Amino acid sequence: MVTSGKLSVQLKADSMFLGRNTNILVRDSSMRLVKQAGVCQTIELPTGLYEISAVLEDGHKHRKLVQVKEGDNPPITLGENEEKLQQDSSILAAAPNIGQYVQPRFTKSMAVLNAAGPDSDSIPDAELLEVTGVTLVRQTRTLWFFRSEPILNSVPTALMRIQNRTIRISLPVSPGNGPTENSCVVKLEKGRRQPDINAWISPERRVANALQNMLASGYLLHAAKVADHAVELLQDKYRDPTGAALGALILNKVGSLQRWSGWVENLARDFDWLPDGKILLANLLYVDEPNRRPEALQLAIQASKQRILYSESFSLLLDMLRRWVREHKENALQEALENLAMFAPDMNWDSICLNNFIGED
Amino acid sequence: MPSIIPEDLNSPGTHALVIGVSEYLHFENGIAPTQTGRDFLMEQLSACARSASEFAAWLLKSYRCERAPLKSLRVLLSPAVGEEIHPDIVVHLNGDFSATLKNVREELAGFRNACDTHTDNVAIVYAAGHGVQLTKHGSIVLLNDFGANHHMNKLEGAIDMAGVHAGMNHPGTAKTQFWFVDACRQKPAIARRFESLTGALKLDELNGETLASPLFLAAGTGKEAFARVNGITLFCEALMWALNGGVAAGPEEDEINKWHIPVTQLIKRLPDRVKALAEKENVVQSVDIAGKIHEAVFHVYKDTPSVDLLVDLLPNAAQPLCFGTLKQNAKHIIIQNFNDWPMQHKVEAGLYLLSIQAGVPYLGRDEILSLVPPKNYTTVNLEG
Repeated sequence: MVTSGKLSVQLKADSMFLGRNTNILVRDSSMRLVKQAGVCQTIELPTGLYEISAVLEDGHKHRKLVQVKEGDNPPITLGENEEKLQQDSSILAAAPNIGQYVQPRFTKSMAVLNAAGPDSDSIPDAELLEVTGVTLVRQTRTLWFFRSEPILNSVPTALMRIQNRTIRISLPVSPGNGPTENSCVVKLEKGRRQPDINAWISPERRVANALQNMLASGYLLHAAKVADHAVELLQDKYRDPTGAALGALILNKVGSLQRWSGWVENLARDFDWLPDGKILLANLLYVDEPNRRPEALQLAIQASKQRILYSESFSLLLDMLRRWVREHKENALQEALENLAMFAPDMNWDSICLNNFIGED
Repeated sequence: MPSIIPEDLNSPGTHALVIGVSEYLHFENGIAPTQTGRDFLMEQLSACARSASEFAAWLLKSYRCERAPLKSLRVLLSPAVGEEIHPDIVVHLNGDFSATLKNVREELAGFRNACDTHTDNVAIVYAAGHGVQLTKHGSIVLLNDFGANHHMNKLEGAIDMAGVHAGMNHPGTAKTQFWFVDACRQKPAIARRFESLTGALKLDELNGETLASPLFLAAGTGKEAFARVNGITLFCEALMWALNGGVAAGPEEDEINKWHIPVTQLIKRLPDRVKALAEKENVVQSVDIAGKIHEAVFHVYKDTPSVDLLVDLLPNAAQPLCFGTLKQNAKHIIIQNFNDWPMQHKVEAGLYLLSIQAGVPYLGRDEILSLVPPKNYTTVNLEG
């Protein structure tokens, strides 16, 4: 006789939206996926061992191993220890002398920890040389917090010197009203060979921050599921076009942006200072509406003259220009390609926000 | 040189093209240096051909896809002097199997034609050699005779992986594709020289899109990742770890009723593994994910993978006093009353309950273990 038990799973999530859109996976002792559940559901399972997991807004897969016994079982909460990494034992276990690599992310707890984190003393100093389009709100040894100026004419940037290298990085802020609304953080990362910087959407922008963390951690399809529900929310309700653009890029990577083409047109039209919208629209028009190809080419040329926010957008534009130059013998296209292509070797492709090397002392 | 296994185009299958270039004929220290080859200031490699052969051998011996079994395997290798090719591949290599432009052009055409025979086909491409990463989505991989004097354009001896990938991205071909590009990235001063060059091998692009075509673009700076003591590239080492169980996932819905390698696990875990290996060797290497990302299964295991389990017990003084029992699903006894620590056993992947009965002054306890391939080392500490 098969006996069963009941189990309820809750999430520790700061965002109600993200909590509602989180998929909880239940695997049995042979690691077979037996259920997919939403939050606060009571699940009935045969007694035995189970793995309960979900990818949360910090970009990590949180999991608990439980033994379900007959009757009611104690409830489980995923995400209780945000700063404790859910280490993948097989990466360590398979080769104990290989250290685990964890992709950089930026969460609310990291914002607090890094104020005087354990590694901060071992990281060389970095210097903020100049900013465009933002105001520095506060800084620590390894963090710089920026908020947008009220009106933007271009994607904001920060110019920083790390040891003897000068780097310019695009900043994912959106014009907002309060000191933390739609702000961003630049974090100095230790790195194995040399320190580097990454720009992160502030954790207060929970949905957009979650998208960036999921993307950084490699949970692309999870991020796409969240983005599919979030893009209109980000742009219209939260007035966060840079967060919305990130969601659109994620959807583009999984081939799911077409159904949002009208919304992408709004993004490109309403935020002229953010060329990432133009790039996405150009790509959609060229493929899906051949009669609007001249418009697509013009959008790409315009975008090539502006500072771009995301590396993915820069990459997409460069790829498009390389293909289109062969098909359309237009001087403006060739010029746009040459302007961008010269920067490509200096790009840090690991960085989500456009990050290019300027020079070395 | 055609497929190293008899090609079968009568029903859906997996078609693979594997290219590995370690030797460059026309570089400064090549067997026939040319001015073009010298100008690019690049050195010979020593691990790309072997790495490609390792992947090809895995496809030949281990790859499993019931709905699309392996039906052609095209392998082009240009090994360096003394570079060892996998023995399972060596026996099949006859005639001219060098990764020259002419041979790559011919095999690419054959590969494309094979993929076009059924949309239920699966296409797999692996290419390794010197390269230039152009964007997050693509790179140029230089072929064995790059820099030949008879080439009309300077990039003629190179393959534009993004261009070939784009040319295979249409609804009339294999709807499931997997691309692995392992390119030794050049320093910016050299890479910049490639930006304005034309002539790399690519395919015409057709309208529409295929269903799934993830492209794993590994680009490492520095020769170290491509000329390693153990003979395979860093990316290949990570990929073989993944294929031999490192990213295996348990069964899911009815269609995927066995342990398998889903694309989502490759996307999540392969870059992490590459980074971990790179950090250990003090090199820089990253993996970008490009192409059409969609749920897909790369490989299905015939049986549940096994795990080499090792459980150690601390402190050492507790070991004679402790007896361990391992139960699959907390029900089926695998090991009972074990006392000769550490516990070492090969078990099927899954969830287990490890119960430790301890003598005074130690307290025993139960631990749930998630055992995933290939190995699991666990230490149970009874102190405190």
